[in-house]
Amino acid sequence: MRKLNIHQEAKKVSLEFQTRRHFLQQCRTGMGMLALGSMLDGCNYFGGDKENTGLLNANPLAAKASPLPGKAKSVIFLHMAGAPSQLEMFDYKPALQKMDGMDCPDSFLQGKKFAFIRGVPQLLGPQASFKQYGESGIWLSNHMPYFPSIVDDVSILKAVSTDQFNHAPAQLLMHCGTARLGRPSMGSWVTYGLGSENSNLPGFVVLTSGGRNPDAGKSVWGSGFLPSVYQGVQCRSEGDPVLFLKDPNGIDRDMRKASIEAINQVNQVAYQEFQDPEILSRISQYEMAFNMQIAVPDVMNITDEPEYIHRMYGTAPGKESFANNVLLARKLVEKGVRFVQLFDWGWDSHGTDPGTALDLGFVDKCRQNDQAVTALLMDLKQRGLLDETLVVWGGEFGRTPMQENRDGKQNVFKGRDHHSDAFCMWMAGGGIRKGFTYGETDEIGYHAVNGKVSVFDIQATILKQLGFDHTAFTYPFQGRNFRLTDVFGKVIEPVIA
Amino acid sequence: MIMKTFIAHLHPLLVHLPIGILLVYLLLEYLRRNEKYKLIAPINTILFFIGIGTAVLSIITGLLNADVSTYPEDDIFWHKWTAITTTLLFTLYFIIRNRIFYQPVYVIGFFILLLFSIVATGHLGGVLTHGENYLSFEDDIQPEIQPLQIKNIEEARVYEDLVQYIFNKNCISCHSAQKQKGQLRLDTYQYVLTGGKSGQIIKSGDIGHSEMIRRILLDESDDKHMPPKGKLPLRDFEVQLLKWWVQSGAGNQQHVNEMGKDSITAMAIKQFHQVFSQQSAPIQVERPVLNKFDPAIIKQLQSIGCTVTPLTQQENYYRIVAFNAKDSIYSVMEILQKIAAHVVELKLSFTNANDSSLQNLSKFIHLEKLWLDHTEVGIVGLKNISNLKDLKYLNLFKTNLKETEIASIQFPKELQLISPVPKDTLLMARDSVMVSAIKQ
Repeated sequence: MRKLNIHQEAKKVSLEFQTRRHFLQQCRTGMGMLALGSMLDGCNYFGGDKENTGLLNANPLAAKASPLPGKAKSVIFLHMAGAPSQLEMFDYKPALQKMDGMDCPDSFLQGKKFAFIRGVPQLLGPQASFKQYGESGIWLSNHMPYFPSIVDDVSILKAVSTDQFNHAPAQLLMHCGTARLGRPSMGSWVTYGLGSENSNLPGFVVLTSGGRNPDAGKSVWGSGFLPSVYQGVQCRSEGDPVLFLKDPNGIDRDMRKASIEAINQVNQVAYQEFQDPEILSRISQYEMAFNMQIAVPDVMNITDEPEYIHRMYGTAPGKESFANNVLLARKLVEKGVRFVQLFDWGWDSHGTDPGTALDLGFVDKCRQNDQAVTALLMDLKQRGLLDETLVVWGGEFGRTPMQENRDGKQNVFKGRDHHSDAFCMWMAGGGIRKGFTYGETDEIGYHAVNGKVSVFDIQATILKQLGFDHTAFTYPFQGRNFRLTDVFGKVIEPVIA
Repeated sequence: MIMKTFIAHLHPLLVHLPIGILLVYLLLEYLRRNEKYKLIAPINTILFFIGIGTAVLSIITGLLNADVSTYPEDDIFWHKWTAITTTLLFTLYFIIRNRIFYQPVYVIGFFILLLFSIVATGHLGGVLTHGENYLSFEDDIQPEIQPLQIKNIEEARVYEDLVQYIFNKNCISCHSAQKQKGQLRLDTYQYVLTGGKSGQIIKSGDIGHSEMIRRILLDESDDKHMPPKGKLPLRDFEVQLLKWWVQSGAGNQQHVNEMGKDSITAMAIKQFHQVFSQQSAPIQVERPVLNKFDPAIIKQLQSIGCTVTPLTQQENYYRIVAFNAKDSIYSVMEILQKIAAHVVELKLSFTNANDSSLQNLSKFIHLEKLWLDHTEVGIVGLKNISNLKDLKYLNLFKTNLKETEIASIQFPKELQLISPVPKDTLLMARDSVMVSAIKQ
């Protein structure tokens, strides 16, 4: 054979890489493995999650069993958007009263960043008086005159901490487990995991009050990467509860039904062809919308409630109010809705105007909130629903023990800045310990000194009560399993009965 | 004294030498009986003297260690005497071995005895340092704590009923006869006073210098925090009670009412009594295993609007919710009675359930929760329930039943009954609280 020079040899080798023979010789193992992989159902073959694939063919909102026995079947999450001041409601700090007006010690300010406080602010004593109530002797402020009658049913968490000091990211963290956009909210996770027991109503309902939506926008009840059928359905407590639900003029219910059936048949064909789960979402949403046309106006109508219920909650039908929403939350849970999320705006007590002053607007806010919330717990109790309904109350963070000095100048009214190190939340029902406080802050309520819990711990505890292990409840997305609590969270065992 | 402690602490180090060497000695002794290995004999004699020498050294340091350490006398007793016996047995064997050598039965018997005694000695020593459960296939066994049996907390003994209860609940899984982490035991008053590796853990009357209190109050993320990561932290009131006990002298005689206390402590005592007297409810109820049934029944139920959820993912028991079958409860119950024994929770709220559709209710023998609120159920339908032994929850809210009618039925004792009438008294209570709060 003729000897090749180096150039010719290189050319020969490179040509070999393009021949069919080379391909068959060298690549058959790889091709074989690829084929085997697809035959074995990818990496899920050994102990994989078969349920996910099975789910696609069924109604995505069908009720499912929780992986573990769970005490709670539904959740009412009352979010006080804007962050209420824990120092005027639950966290009694007599020492702070004595230090009222003194300059805040340097040690509290070093390395800290505040939303508005600049320079050296002054400490601000509690703008409320406190007393111990109930068998459990829990301290409560005079802004909540009704709350003492149910204080023996709740567990108060006094040292919750977050790592966000602006509303939108803190709200996202509270509900989606991250301060950034794109993750599913807690209600979506729960409806994804448990489905709904009433197919005529959405599994996850959102109600807002206080004049505006939360800063984080609709993302706090979004479904993120979960199928969009699990996103929260926002209902309005004034006018039509759900927009665009009414039949258009000239179309009656039979015609509506016929058209939805026709559309869904087309969608079924499309689903058979493309197997896109979003098509299933769309089918079930059309069906649900049709059912909701009757069921939602019925359940969202509070005028039929007896007089004593209205007196109890402080409701006024026909207006948008927190009390109305709380009553609606009870009605929804009673009818099998899985997760009811309330947002009440107006708790951002900076003290820049009378509405945000701790001794003016904040007090009104407390009073409205107090009556409705107390009524809710009592009503759930007398209906025998509190054992299966987990009620959670709280803001996205707390407020500073210091008087806010926006841009270095003392605010005109009494107010506090955003504070992420320690704030209060409470839980009740759904297997939560009764008449209990967990956690403690330092003398002025600045840092947690024991029983510190994070937002992830709250989420883990809520999931636990619904029958989930928060570390095992995942959804595969972009090549890895995601969970609500990301890589954090610890169940707050002491508050579980 | 320091020298003595130092030498004593060499014991755990030295003991491994005689164990290893004497085991090898034993093996070679066994092999030596074979012609092929005859040449081992002189080497083995050397091995014996090294082994016995280190064994004697171990015994000396061990006796010193028993003196300076805080190990309980009883536990040391067996370790000490098995060690001495083992050493003597080996010596005995060495002296007489050539005489009995040719009688194989004795030799094998002797070997087994020696092997056994050396393993036993080592094991007893290990139990002393690592605790009884160290060599075990099971996880840490959590002691089962009975609920408090105290009627009047004011007459309870502070140490025995309160402090020791807190220790038993939170600490003794690592600090007791079974296990002494940090050489600390908290199962009796004497041991608590003795302290552990780093000395006394309690300075009576001075919580600032009491190591135990300091450790409990450390930040949870701190490595030295007690109870350690993974265990339940102490509750606030438990911490308060321990602080109070140490502050007021850490005695074991006083009763609760004999000791002065501030309001926080009084509250903590109350909470302690309240929380720990409750029998914690079993999470999962034991139910008999049932045969599977035709899954078509579930399909049938779903087609008329029922939600059928297995109670947990493994069990063959179900929760049935009938919100979407509200006008056809009669047919729901007709189908359901085929699988009646499998139904544990039945929610018929807001439906047309009435006496005639509920006539088969007595067949649902495992029913634990039943919702009949907002239905037309009457006293006739309700009577079908009275034989359901497992029933724990019955919701009759907003039904037309009268209190007297309900009272006429014998329900299981533990039943949580939601009465049909909204409790106006509850609302009155709320109003009166509010009025008094506003006055203040």
